[in-house]
Amino acid sequence: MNDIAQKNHAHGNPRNFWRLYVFSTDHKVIAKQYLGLALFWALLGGFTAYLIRWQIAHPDTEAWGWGFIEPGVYNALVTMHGTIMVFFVAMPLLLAVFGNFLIPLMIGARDMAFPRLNMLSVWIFALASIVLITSFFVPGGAPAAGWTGYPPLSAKNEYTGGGYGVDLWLVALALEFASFLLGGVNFLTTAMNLRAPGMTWLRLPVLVWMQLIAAVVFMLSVGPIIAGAVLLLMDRNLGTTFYAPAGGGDPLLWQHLFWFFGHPEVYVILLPGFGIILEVLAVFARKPVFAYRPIIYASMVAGLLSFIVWAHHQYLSGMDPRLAMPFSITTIIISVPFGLVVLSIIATLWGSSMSFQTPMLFALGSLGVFIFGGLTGIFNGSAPVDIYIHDTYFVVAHFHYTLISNVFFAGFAGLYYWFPKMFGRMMNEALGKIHFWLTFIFFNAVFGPMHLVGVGGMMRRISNPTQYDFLKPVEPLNMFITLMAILLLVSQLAFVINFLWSLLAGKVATANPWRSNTLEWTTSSPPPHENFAATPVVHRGAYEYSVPHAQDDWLPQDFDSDKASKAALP
Amino acid sequence: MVTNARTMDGSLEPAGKAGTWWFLSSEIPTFGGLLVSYIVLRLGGSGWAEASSHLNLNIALANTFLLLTSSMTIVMAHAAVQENDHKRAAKFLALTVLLGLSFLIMKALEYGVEIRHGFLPGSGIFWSFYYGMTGLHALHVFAGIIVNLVLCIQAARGSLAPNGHRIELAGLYWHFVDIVWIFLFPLLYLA
Amino acid sequence: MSAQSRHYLIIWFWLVGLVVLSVAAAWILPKSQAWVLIFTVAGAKAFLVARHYMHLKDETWLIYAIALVPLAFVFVLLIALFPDFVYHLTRR
Repeated sequence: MNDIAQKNHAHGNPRNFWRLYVFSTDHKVIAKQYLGLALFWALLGGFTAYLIRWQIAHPDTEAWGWGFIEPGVYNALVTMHGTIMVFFVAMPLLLAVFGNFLIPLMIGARDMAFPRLNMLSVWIFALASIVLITSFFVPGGAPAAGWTGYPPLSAKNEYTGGGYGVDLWLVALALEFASFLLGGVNFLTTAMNLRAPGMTWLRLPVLVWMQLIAAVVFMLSVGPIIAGAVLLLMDRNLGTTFYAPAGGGDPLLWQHLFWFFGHPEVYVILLPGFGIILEVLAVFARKPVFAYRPIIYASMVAGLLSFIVWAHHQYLSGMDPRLAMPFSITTIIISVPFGLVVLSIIATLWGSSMSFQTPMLFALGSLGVFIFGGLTGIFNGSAPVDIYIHDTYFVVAHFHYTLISNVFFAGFAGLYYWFPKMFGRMMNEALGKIHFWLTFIFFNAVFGPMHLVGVGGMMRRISNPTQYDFLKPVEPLNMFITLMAILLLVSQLAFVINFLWSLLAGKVATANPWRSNTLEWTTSSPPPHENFAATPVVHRGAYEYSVPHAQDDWLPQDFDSDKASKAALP
Repeated sequence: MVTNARTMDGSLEPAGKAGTWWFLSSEIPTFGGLLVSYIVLRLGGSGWAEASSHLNLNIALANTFLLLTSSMTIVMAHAAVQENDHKRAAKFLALTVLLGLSFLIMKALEYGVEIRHGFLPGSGIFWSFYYGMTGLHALHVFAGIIVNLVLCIQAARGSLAPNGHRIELAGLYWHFVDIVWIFLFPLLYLA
Repeated sequence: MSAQSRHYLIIWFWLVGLVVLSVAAAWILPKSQAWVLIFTVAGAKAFLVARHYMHLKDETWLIYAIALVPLAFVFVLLIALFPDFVYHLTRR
């Protein structure tokens, strides 16, 4: 028997401020540290989005609250917006916050398998954050080679006008990868070894499965980009020629290494988002997750397939055209398992008894937005069509539909849903609904028309579309989008105010305000340091909702029907 | 109260071993990506064999033997710990550390010779890969030496007792570093 | 010396022998035959270390999977990169 948890908690219950809140090995505290960092980066990332949209709609004018945006600065904004949102918001929020907080609780464990490694992970991530922030302040400013950092643009400073920016970017990313690698090791070992008695693999909540599959996909895909980043650092600083044709190298090598990781990475972000959606939908529809096992197998298949689609990002890169067809085929194939998951989600709702509180609204919104984004993915994935829309705003619209649906809509669903468990208070429901509707309406107002801008021919990453005559028709669209974007960003105030106010003065939460079956709701809100007063014993799967002839419409995983009456339940 | 770590299906990998293998599963594509890049660029390029002929095969051969032997010594240390002979384990770990250090010293000397002859990282694509791959490998060797040294000291002092399995975990990492060299050696020096 | 230790020593002798074999092949055989032998030998050495020193022969299928699946992906990357770097459509 593995009493890892006992060994690691031999320190007893820490009492002083530093051990409790700063140098904590408690997975719940670590999750909140990630949350604080992710929300900070989200605000910064949102601000870069505002400046980008301002420049596009009103080029070469002074943005409110900032000033004039030079083209070099614009490139840096675009680079940092992508880098921040993918690596410093999406990954920490969806994987580190929810994974860290929920995995031990959902499997009935006291903490992660390696609590000190967990603390190391969040501190490495904090260090990565500091390194990236520093890049704003060095001579030459923040990196400006795009979040994809293609050489030769990223390999030679004279092309971007930068200095140490790209080097700091590479180091920050390397640290971030190290942090999540360690986290992945922790998640997988914890789920393998620390499940409570009775918690078989197939009784795990879907969210845990999704986190595990995402961890495996991340760990297996990140290697080549680490290699590539080392090579780029060497090209920039040691005069090597990995990516320089004059020296025998090839810029295409970076692209392959980057996207071999980059594509699985978006599914690493996507799968935990699906996990959140499924948990929330099951609870608020009072219905079991439809096709639980097929969803898990389909997600594994999707994770596997994600490794053989990467070159669909490179159809126009000068890559060998013979690769276009095989990668188009694999890209179309990968829509099959995702289709299965999406249809299963819809089937979960069919004939259910839905109640539309804020978490449910965000989960439903996420589903709708994702479906639309997934459909435009089919256009992008087919080489003949992609020839026309690659590097246009059509692609930008596509990935914002798929990413924002997961990172923000599903992320908000998760935050509103698990806020009571994390902080012991309820968030304000009215403000939550306002937040949802404003976000949903303005999001679609921003990114819906953006497809038209893309099809109209506007290229990505240009700082002044008005200098091109052929882009005159999309000017009004761009101005409309910018206005909607500003309103979208301002709407997030509803969340910020709600979050902060509820932390301090929200209604005190009971153990299980949502009447959910999973194990985290059987303990207090927030849970004590050791999570559970006694080891849970699991008797059934996570989705026994609306069981026919049952006394109630829910049946917790650990409830022993042979024992005490239901009156004991919260 | 303590959480029982029991799984219904019974199969249980010790946490540290599973964790170490998961970590190695991420290292495989890292070095794999690097080696794949070398292979495809070399197969499609020219002049690599000529550049490679300037390398010192003898030093590399010596290094290969050093690393292979160190793989044996660390697994001997693991066998010793399984028989509860921590003193013998410390001796074998010390040998492993020595062999690892010798590898790094030889590598440094080799770099010195090459640099004096004017072969720098920027001297061409082969040299870029040579320094990149062996450099990254050497960093991994260095990290492994630190870990092995710490365990060696603990074993010698007798403070390793409840965590003897850590030698096996350190060994897994060390063997992986050895396997990377098993492929680097022919790719750089023999092909 | 225990049986376990003797076993490790025997593997070491094999490894050393294989190194000698591959160096000999590089000196004696013509290029194309040499590299087939050399890389087969490298694979054999890696296999010996993994199976006997890393105890893969005693491990569960899961550990094997953790070791082999990344290798498969590396192989996929290798094959996919051939058209762009080895078989150029136009000479670069």
